[in-house]
Amino acid sequence: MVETGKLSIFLAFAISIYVVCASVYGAKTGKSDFVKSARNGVLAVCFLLIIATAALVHSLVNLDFSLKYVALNTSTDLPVIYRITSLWAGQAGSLLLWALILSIYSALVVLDTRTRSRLLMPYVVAVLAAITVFFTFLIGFVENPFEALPAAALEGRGLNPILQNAYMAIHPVTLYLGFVGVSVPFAFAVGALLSGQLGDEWIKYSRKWTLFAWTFLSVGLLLGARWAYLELGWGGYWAWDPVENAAFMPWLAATAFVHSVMIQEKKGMLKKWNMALIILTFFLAIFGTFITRSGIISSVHSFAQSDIGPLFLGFIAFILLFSFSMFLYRIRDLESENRFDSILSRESAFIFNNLLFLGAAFAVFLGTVFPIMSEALTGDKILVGSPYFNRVNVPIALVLIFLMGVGPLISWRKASRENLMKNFLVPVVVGAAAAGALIALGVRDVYALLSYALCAFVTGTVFTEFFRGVSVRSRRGENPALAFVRLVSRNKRRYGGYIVHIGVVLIVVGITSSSVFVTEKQATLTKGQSLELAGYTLTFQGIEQYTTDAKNATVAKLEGYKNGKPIGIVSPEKNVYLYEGNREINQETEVALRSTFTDDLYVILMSYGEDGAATIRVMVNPMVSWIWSGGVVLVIGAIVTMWPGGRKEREEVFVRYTLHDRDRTAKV
Amino acid sequence: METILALAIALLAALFISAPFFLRRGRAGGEEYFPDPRAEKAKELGSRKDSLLTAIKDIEFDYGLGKLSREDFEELHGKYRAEAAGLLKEMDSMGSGNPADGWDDDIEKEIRAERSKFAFSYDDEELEKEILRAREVAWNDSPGRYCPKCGNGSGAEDHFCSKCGAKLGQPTETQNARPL
Repeated sequence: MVETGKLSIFLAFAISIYVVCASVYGAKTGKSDFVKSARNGVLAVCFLLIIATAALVHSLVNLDFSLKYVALNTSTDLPVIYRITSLWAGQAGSLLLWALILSIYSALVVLDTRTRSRLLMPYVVAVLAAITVFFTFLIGFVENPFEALPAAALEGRGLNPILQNAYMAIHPVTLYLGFVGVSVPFAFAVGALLSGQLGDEWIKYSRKWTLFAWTFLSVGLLLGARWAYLELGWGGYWAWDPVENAAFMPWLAATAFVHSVMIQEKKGMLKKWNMALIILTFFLAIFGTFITRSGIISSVHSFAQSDIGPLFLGFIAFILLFSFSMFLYRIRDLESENRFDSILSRESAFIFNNLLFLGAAFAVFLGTVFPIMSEALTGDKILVGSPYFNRVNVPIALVLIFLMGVGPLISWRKASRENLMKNFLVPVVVGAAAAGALIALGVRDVYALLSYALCAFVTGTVFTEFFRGVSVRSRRGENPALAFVRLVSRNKRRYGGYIVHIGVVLIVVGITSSSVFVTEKQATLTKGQSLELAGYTLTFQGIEQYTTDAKNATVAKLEGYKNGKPIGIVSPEKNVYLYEGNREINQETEVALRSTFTDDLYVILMSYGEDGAATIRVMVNPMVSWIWSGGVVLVIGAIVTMWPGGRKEREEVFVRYTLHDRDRTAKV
Repeated sequence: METILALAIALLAALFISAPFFLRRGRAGGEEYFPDPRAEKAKELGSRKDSLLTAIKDIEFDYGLGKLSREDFEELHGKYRAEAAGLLKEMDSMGSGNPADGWDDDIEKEIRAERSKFAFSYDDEELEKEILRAREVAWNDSPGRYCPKCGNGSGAEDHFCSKCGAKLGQPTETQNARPL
């Protein structure tokens, strides 16, 4: 299988080059054979990369230690499921996965647009193929997953135990579906620039891919946060780590893009913004891949030694230069069709939205590359920590939440006083009431108050929207439940979007509560001693040990009570893994976690002594489960927006009725 | 064994990619590709039509929920509908989409389906208004008059309605407005 895999990668590389040439040649000369052949080439590349991936998975599952990648990432005692997921555990495998997912997306795009837009599509196909050329080059000639060792190893190094966890198993795939997915709208945008088809087509045809990629970026981020929370054992879910930021930056740009394109569709405005945003999103996705994969974060020097780093940088530079030159070349064709009427309007709300998301992305970018730049320029690595990121991003986030509420209700063009009064009365009252109630309950933290009040405000606006929509329909005699279903199904994008906003509100409330109101305590306990925190009481029962195939575990048993009621045994662990894979992590912590609607009890076994005493650290994180539930709501909303359907026949009928009637009477 | 498999895969890929050059299926050369300008124009119009209809739907909805002032609504609505009407006319004359005559039945079917479903929300009211407006346009354009009793059209010179026999008075402003 190895030889087949190797050949498939080389073929995929060669064919992708052919696709770029044939597609562009076919488009320019009008020879459909070349365009069709190029499209077949895309499908062939997909097929070939599936074969290559299957070959690698085969080698991983069968522990073919003659291959460097298998020897580095698996071991004899690794469970089969993790042998499969080790496909994306290392450099070469991850790059192959990237290329595979890109080829699948490209194939789907080709199949989906067989009869559409013959002027635009060849260029879109060419761009997708060009990106594929880069990645197949990397896996063919620089980091080949099928690279053989001079002599077959006797045993593999094994998979890092913190990756042997369901979340880490799927998080890279979901994130890649997002990262790679952004290539599709990017290809459509550059295709539009190249072909001159600068109307709405490229946005319309790429919309479902954009939403799909955005959804997976969101899911990937949340899964990563959940994994960090469960496995890294410091009690938090986000540390503004460069690898986290690498995924967050494209998400910020993609969210701005998803909103901004609505204005182009409705008013023919913000065309330049949309082009720039999608180019930026793609750049940040590739840059994110580069940061995560090139080792540049741990040290500028390890970056320089890796072969991948400089190549990625070259590719990034090329993308930026090429895209922006095409953008400037076509800039006159991207003029707005409409004027701005007022700063108090939906159009400007969207512009503010764009600016804020961009601002946040830029701030995160700055903080992420600063250590790299400082090390490269001065030799001293100046670390940028959470305080910087929080100080910049929290205010931006608060204004964005405000806009999330204002946007849907403010009128187009120019908001009048009555529009403002009529639409915003209820939500503002809800927000103010929430703030008032919280102040009465003793909450004094300004950011927390603002955050909760704004979230209540947004909830008020969404509720108002649904309520008005349903009541208008019910007045016609429809029962409310049916009215609700019909309302959403007739306006999927609008109401699906509102559901996503509710998901975001839940996430923000969860983040606010768990950041501002977290409490913690650390103590060394002997048998029978207790620790109390935020209504919880934990009484130390003793230390136990057990062994499994994979590890030696030491468990601290604690009897837990919440407000006097028993909650069972809480057992944080410390594990020593039996094989060599986890060089630095021989004492891995398994957090004991109890999640409820109101808070999370998070217990870490810090150390244990010969005398049978244990040092435990306890944290109570309020409302963390709201973050995960919010994520689920967000995905549901996203699915609603992407759901196909939406008849426009009725509208067409009305217009024709007028037209038709006019014609008929003219004959009289 | 594996070499044969690998060669087979390579061969398959090559065949698949070169297929379009050999399977011409009765088309001449490759020049037919140059997208047929009429077909492209039709597609472009169709796409623009879809966007307009969505825009019409959206602003009707927004207006119904009070997010658009009356003047803005009327201006935008009129603009979109005029453009959509123009587009439909152009598409019909190009021969794409359904011919104008086929729409009669579609219209009636659509209206009946919608009424029976109560699926209208405020659109019901709007539909009545549409119909009135449309008829108004028709009436105001035509040279005849209408019977105040049964609404039947009649010539400007008639004294009695040809359908119900009611007496027709002098043409007045009110008679020509909204007989329904």
